[in-house]
Amino acid sequence: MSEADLRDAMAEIAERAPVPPADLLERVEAGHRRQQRKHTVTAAFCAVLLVAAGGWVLSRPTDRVVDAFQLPPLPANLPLITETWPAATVTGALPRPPDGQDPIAMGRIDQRHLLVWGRVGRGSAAARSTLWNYDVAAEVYRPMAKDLQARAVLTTVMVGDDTVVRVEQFDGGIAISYSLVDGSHMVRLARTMNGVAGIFVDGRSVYWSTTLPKPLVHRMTISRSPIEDLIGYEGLTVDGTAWARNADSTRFKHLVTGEERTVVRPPGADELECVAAFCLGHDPTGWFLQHTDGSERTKLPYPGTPTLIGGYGLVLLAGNVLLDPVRGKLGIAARRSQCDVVHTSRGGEVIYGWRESAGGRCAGNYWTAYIGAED
Amino acid sequence: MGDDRLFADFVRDRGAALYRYGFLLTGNHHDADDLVQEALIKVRSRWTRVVRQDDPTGYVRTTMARLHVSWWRRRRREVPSAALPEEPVVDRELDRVEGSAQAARVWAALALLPPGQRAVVVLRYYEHLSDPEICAVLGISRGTVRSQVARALDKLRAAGVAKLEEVTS
Repeated sequence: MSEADLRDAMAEIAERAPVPPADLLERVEAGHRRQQRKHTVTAAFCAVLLVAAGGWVLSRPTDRVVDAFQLPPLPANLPLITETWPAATVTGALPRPPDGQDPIAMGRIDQRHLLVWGRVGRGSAAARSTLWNYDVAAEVYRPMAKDLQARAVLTTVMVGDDTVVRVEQFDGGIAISYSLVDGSHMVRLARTMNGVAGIFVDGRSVYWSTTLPKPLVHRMTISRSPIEDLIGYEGLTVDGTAWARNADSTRFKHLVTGEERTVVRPPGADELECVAAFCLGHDPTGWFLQHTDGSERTKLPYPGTPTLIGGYGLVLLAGNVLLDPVRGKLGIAARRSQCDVVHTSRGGEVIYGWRESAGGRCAGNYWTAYIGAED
Repeated sequence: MGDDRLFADFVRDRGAALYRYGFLLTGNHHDADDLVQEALIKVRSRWTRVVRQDDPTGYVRTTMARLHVSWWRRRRREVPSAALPEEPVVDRELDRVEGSAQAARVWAALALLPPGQRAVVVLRYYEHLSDPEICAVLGISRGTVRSQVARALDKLRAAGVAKLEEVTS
């Protein structure tokens, strides 16, 4: 074997590496904040940050295309998240589960319950792994699935109407399985050596994508029909919503209806980020919204730099104001000054975390809100 | 563009490459995942400084290599289990990612190397770094790099990855 052969062999091996999880950035940001907090706050706050790390939920992603964006003026007294999205779930720090595991919020079962993954130890030292149903109001854990393989990493969870589909990464590959929401009737659906980029559950079907040797979308029913490669979705990946998209989010295709949306970049735009419902862009005249096809281009009438959070399509405005431009909703997490703000999206839902600052110090409790399109 | 966005872009753009590097360093998916995430968390806290350097990727690569060696010094080596708890459905993707016999031999031989030697081999033959660059990444002397390479190649030869004397410097 020559030097070139050795290099080639290593390059070939490297192609079998795991694909980064879709929420890698969120995990890193959460870990970063957790590290920061270790230096400044009590251990209780560390568990709180894991909430921000985990979070996700299913909510039905929006299929709506509106004729015009709804951009209400900023009122003097902005409504709170709980007023604008009354069905959103807002929770404080996750307490430790009964057996002392580190809790990570993986998703929302309903307005009152979170799906929480707990594991004792990590990596090869992991000793025990459990999936919990956590009652946010009562602050009580109920076990859903006990004695999961400890070394397996629970990478993705999707909560359907009555089922929970989960993706676990083992040393020997990726396993996709489902159970009823109460944790019963767990069935292993499939396994793959290839990385699972994302999953989506609709009724009795599970969609997931793999990325090697090229992105493909697969489908099977939870009654374990043969795995089917979806024709016409090559190059697209599932991101937890009903819309598969390409790597730079310029092409979307609905997993169930097959509807396609291709992003039209307007001339002069120096930034353009899209979800299936709309795009947020910037050109020399300022920030604007448009549909993916370029229609209904509308200047944003708000000050500052907006950020597209993702999910079903929330925009974070200056001053930590959340905007749903499709439904014309505005909300704010707290009337007092916020700090340690984190935001992410998982599946179709937006997860927003914050603390309140007082007297110039960021020392309040940490809160997390889970907001879906229909909340 | 703020540093936060730059970091997000960096993770998005370089994440897959870092996972490949981490996979070669650690030898399994699980530890690669842990290694990349822990390294990025460390880098995140210094990002304002890192991003102003010429080579943020190199900085992360260094962090990962040192973390990996450090981990393996701290913990016992464990043979990962490929067994899944339930009978799996046959997945056609499995066949598509089978490697060549040559790659399989190299992979098996790499598993025999201790982390320091493995890191040197990965940096040299996968990342294509020169000896001085490997010195900088691992924080070791050039003599140590050379001795690590020599020992690693001895083991690879002994494991049946033939004619590696051709690659010695």
